[in-house]
Amino acid sequence: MQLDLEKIRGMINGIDDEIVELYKKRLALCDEVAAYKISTGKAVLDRSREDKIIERLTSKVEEKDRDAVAGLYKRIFEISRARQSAKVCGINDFYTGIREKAQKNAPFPKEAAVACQGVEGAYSSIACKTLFEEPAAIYFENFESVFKSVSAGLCEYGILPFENSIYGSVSEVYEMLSRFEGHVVRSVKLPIHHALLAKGGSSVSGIKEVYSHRQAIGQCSIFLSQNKNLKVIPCENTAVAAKMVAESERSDIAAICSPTCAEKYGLSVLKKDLQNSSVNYTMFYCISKEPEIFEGITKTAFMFNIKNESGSLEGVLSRFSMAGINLTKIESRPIPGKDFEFMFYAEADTDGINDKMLELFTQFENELDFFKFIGAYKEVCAE
Amino acid sequence: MVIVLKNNYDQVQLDKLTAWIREMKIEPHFTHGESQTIMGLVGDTSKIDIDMLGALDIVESIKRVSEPYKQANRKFHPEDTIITLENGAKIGGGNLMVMAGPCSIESEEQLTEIAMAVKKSGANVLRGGAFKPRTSPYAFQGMREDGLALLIKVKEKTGLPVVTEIMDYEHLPYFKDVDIIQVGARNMQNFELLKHLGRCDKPILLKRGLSNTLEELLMSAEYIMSEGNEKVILCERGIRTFETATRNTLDISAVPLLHQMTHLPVVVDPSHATGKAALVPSMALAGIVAGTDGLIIEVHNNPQKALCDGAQSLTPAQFDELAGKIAGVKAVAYR
Repeated sequence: MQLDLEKIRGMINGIDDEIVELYKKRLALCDEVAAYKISTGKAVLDRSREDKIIERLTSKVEEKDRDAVAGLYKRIFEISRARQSAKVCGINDFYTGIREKAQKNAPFPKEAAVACQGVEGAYSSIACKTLFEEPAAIYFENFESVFKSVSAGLCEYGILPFENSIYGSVSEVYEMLSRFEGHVVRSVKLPIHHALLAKGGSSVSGIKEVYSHRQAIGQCSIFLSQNKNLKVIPCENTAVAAKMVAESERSDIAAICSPTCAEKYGLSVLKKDLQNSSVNYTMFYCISKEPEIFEGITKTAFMFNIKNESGSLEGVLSRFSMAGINLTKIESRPIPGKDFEFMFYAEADTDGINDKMLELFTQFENELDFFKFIGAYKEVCAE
Repeated sequence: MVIVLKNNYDQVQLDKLTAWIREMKIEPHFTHGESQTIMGLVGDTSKIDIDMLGALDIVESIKRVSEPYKQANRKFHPEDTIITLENGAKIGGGNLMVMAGPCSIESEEQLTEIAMAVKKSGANVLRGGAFKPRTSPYAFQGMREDGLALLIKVKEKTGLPVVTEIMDYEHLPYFKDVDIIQVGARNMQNFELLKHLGRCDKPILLKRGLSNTLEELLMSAEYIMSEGNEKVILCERGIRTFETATRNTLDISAVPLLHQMTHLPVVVDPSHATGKAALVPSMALAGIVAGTDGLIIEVHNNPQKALCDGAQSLTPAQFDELAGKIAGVKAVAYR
């Protein structure tokens, strides 16, 4: 057996040598086609030509080998398309701008007008103070207005939660990222400690109603299920809940929110760390209207939409790997108003911006139905 | 657009909002009332996202003002505007101002005698015409600048502030010692004149044109206010109807209506409205009941011999009697 394996491997090597020689010739011909397409302005993707090649080749082989041949050629087409696309597109003006911004290596601003959802003491405002030394925080009732205020120029930056380690993604923020102007300039990972806050003199046993945001309620589900007598009332924000409790005349209501709200609203902490798990983090994005790139990039994020057909996601993913981009996260999000059509959101670990990456993004903007550069930013962790 | 701020709004957030609004070439007007602070935006507010501003934590409520008059609109300024003259006399917000005097200034003696009499009866402003807008070019045109000089002389003698009509903005230099400048009914839509008056710092008594709607009156007030002069007093002085028994028909409902529409003081001129001295007292009192902030009444020491509008002028004695009734009616009916 040992001998046979050696022999077979030798034969495979021989075939590979032939394949590479032929493949080199094929690539050279493809480059000629690319040059022709550039000179005549024809589209890179010619799906009918690709389908015909696969049909012709699969008809030459036995049934059992057809999928293998089709799979190989799909990959070959993907590579050809990437090579042609790179020659046709180069780097467009938008990504040339991104490269220039990245080269400046500007420090993150210390002061700015920053839009936050909620009120003083909300987790968004804590995230804001983590990122900026001297923010002028401007508070809004909802996420949409945070986006709009940045896009309208009322605020230079906006703070938005996008993922919680227990409860998952904040879907409306993802949806708004694709709908509004706005780019991520930094992200912050904030540890979340929920506490039960009520007026001085109250005790846990005396509390009848609890107010909080639905995410916080979800993150404290174990505590709440152990205290079934508590009536849970969702409200728009955890700090708003604290404010309501402080302004109410009742002493039998409490808020689930950050313990930092206690001082701000004159409440006392009845119970600390109500959250289900001691590992509870919320990730916040800091967004700007135009893409801005500050020193210390660790992540690049983007969103895209693809045709609903077999192999199209694989095609996109293989292009990332060809460009040497290490994807660390990919998530599909339903597109609102569409019948279970999905948008993909992806993140890559990057320690800078390189031309290969910018060429790929330029190509995707030309080829895909939708592609948006979300941002290249530093991910920071709050203590 | 009217933005009502929350009671304990954060000043830093408001300053940022104000700066942003100014960047869009929209001027915010602040009204700090007892119970709330209101920010009124005048200009092209169509590009402002009302939902976004409504979601601001410092904002209590927000609405677009559909009426074409903005600064004159009560939505901009829920509390009554009170205008104070140099000598401290007030009009608006519960302060009644009674203006009385001859239709036109005829002589120093005539004016002094009437001024002394109406002052004694309780009038707090002296009226007197110097530039007269007459229907006929052959009728007495007023004593013009000489008349104004006499009016100022009598003002100094009696201590009564004075109100008199302007017809052309080129005459403005003569009006520097006048306390209230009147724009007559015929000039209500003389927009160039209104714009010039908007750039001066004196209260303007704006009379309703005899065929103008209340909205048109407020748009004229808006012309003055948009130039920076917010001291506008509106005057209902009768409108044209088919009725010939009176000179005009006093639109008494204009008083409460204007009070709903605007924060500016509203006065009633029963003399020009009726054209008949016998009707003046009843209509003056009707104005008080309707909630007027002031009256402007023609008084002449010898109505039969008056050079202008004698038939509608009260004698000083008749005015004195009316003044007593005004005080009585005001006590029971004033808003």
